[in-house]
Formats: sequence, structure tokens, C-alpha cells
Amino acid sequence: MSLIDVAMVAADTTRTKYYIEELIDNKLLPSYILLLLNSDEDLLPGQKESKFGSEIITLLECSEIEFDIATNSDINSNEVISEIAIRSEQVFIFSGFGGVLLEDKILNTGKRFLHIHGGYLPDYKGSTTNYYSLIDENTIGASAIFLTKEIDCGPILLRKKFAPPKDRTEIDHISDSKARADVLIECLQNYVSSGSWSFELENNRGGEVFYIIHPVLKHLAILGENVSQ
Amino acid sequence: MNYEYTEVNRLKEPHRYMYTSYQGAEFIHSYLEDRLGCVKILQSDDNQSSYNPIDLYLYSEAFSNLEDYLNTELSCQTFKPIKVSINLEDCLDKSNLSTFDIINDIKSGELLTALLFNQLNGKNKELIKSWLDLLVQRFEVTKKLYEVYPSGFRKGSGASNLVRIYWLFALSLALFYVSSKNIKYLNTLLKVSDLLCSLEGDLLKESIPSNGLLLILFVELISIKSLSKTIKEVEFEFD
Repeated sequence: MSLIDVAMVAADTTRTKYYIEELIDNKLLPSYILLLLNSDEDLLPGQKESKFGSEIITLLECSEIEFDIATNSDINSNEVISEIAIRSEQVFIFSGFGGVLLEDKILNTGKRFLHIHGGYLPDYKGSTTNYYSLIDENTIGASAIFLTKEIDCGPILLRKKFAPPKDRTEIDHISDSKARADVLIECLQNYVSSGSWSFELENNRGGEVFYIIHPVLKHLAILGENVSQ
Repeated sequence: MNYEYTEVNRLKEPHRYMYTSYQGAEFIHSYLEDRLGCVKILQSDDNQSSYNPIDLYLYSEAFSNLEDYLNTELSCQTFKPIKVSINLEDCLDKSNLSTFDIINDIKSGELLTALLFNQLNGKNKELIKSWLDLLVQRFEVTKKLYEVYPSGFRKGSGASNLVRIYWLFALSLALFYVSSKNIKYLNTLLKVSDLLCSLEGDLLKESIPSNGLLLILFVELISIKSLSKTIKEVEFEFD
């Protein structure tokens, strides 16, 4: 089925590929996808290889999802904002390049951006939080929120904790994406079954803001089966 | 394997730590070797009394505060920093954290000194976390700390190469991590230690008490050792 009121704005990253594959498998197709392609030779955060753009396009063509290639790869550019603003869908699933924040001018379009944060909210806000939760409590997490101006502080639609991945060396590109895709699908299934967006925790206050993990701690999180103190 | 995070002067070339690659247990050993190399340089400094008396006081009090934590893991007496005792009553007026407000310009050195006085005296815990979080946020975004943060505490001004500021910050992070065990603060401490260990030994020795940096490095190493105790590939001892 196609989700009439739900579109997607997505960069050519491993996470986007996971999302689209899961959406197709679960028959939860967005009615439209705006694809941001990296035209530079250098990979951007969230990209493991440069081939994902063509793989994603093939996926979209095979599944007959309507899509466009954005005229600018920067989600905060005026071109992209215009392309989003003219759409009739009110909710956009957001899957951008890593580290990119939505600026006020796009948040002010009136659209809502459904983002799946890699971490259990509100406890783990910020960057690379699944490495921190692996060290703290031997779990990873993902949380569905509507984006607001404050980072990772939007109302929580759904949040889940997951057992640690068997292969911890691919957390950035595989385990984290899988956890997020799982939460995205369940969140959309809830929306389809109830006909509205329901919230698990609207007051997403408190918690701790984490910053990009130091490689020593990252290695301990990967090497440790359980490094909690 | 080289530990790239201290290979060049990180005051001049900050590392962003984005998407760092996994290099196996050998990486942890390269980190350990690099830190112990820095320890060795600092231990060769026998001129411990010529520093700013406030810094010596802060170091001395921090050592007393952290002594139990150090004793849990350090088996070798030679790694223990030497305790310094000085009288510094005239500096106690610098400890009032409530005089700082982000609507005013804030000198990082004064803020950090006040933070440390309060941490060492177990006062104002919520205020300490609030100010420390602001400093962590500023450092993590820019990988620098500036001499002054003008009103609003956003973009810094003045020098960003003051070694003493980074040492005070590291000391504050070390104390906060030991009392809270919140890995967020160990994470930033590792980055500040990388920066300090990337500097020339002579610059360190002329800017901060060597024992003061040794103290921080030992806290960090013991913390990493504690976190890695269940990982067979990463066993290490201080001997």
C-alpha cells in the first residue's frame, strides 16, 4: 500500500537503502521520495560507498515509487525547501547525510519530519549514542521523533531497545540502520492501523547529550561483550 | 600501529573524530603505548614548584580527592604523583560560581578555576554540571577552548592555544567522571588528553604542573582499564 500523506526526503546513504528495502518489504511505500545525491567524489557522513545512489534508484524504479532527484544535495538549500514545500504530503520521513541538521527555514515549511534517532530517547541524545549505550548497558536503541529546533528533543512516537549486534564492527552502517528501520516500520504500522500519529512520550526533556565517540571508547564498545561497570 | 590522534600538534590541527575506523585490539595497545610515552616525558620534569600557585593548589587538592581512585588500580608507587601542600587562602574568593552568567563575557580560566574549587569542595553539583556541559559542548563543536566567551557563550574570542586552559578543563572532566562515572565526560577527557599529549614536552612543562597532567593521564588510563576489564584482548597492567 502507498501511504498517501507520507513522503520521504533521503540522501544516498546505507541507512536510506535499509529504510527503502524495509518499506518495500513491509508494503509501506511513501507516496513520493526526494532523493539527495552526493555529486562529489568524497564520501559524505553516512555513506559507506558511492554506489548506493544507483542502487537506491534501481530499488525505487522496481517498486514504482514516485521519486525525483533533488536539484541540490543540501537539504537546507532553497531548491530543496521549495521542492518539499510544494508537495501535498504533510509528513516526510527524513534520512539525510550524517551530522546534517535541519535549519529553521525548512522546519518552518509546515511539514513534519519523521526522524529515527539512533539511540534510546531521552536518555541518549546527540551523536553515536549506541556506542555509549553498549558500554553502559549492553544495548542499542532507536527512537522515532518529529524533528524540532532543539536537537533530539521532538516528541517521541516510538522507542525501542535492542540486544547488542553479533557483529559490532559494522554498527555505523548496518546495526544502527537496522534498528532504526525496525522502529520506522513499527511507527508507520501504528500510523496505518490507528489513522493518526500517536506518541509514546511527548515530553522528550532531560537525558544526556553525547558527542561523537572517541575511538578508544568506540573500540571498547566493539570489543566488549559487556563492558558495563 | 601509530596512534594518529597525537601525531601532530592538535592545537594547530584539531582532529574531528568523525567515523573513525575499527582497527582491532591493537589500537587500544597503540593508545596505551602513546599515553605511557607522554607519562615518561612528564616524569622527567623535576621542576615542580615554579608554577602558578593556584594551579599547584588545584593539583594538590585534586590529588587528595582522587587518591582512592588511583589506589584501586595503580600497583607501582613510582606512578603516583607527588602531593604538593601550599597555603592559598587568598584565592578562595575566586570560587563563587554564582557570579558567572552567560549574559556577560566569561573568561574560561576564571570559570574553570571556580568550577574546580567547587568540585573539590563538593559544592553546587547542579551548577557544576551545567557549566561543565556548556564547556564540553563548546569544545566538542570546535575542538578548541577560547580564552573568552562573550555574552551568550557561543563563539569564543581571544587565544585558543592556552595550554593551561585545556589542563584545567581536563582536570575538571577527570574529577567529574570519577564522581559520576558518566562516560560522556571520559569521552571528552580522552580528546583533551590527546590534544595535550600532542604538544611538545617543553611546552607542557613550561605551561602546567607536570604532575597535574600525570594525574589526569592516570585517571584516564585507570578508567579505560576498568572499562576494558572483561575484554581479554585488552588486558594491561601498569608496571
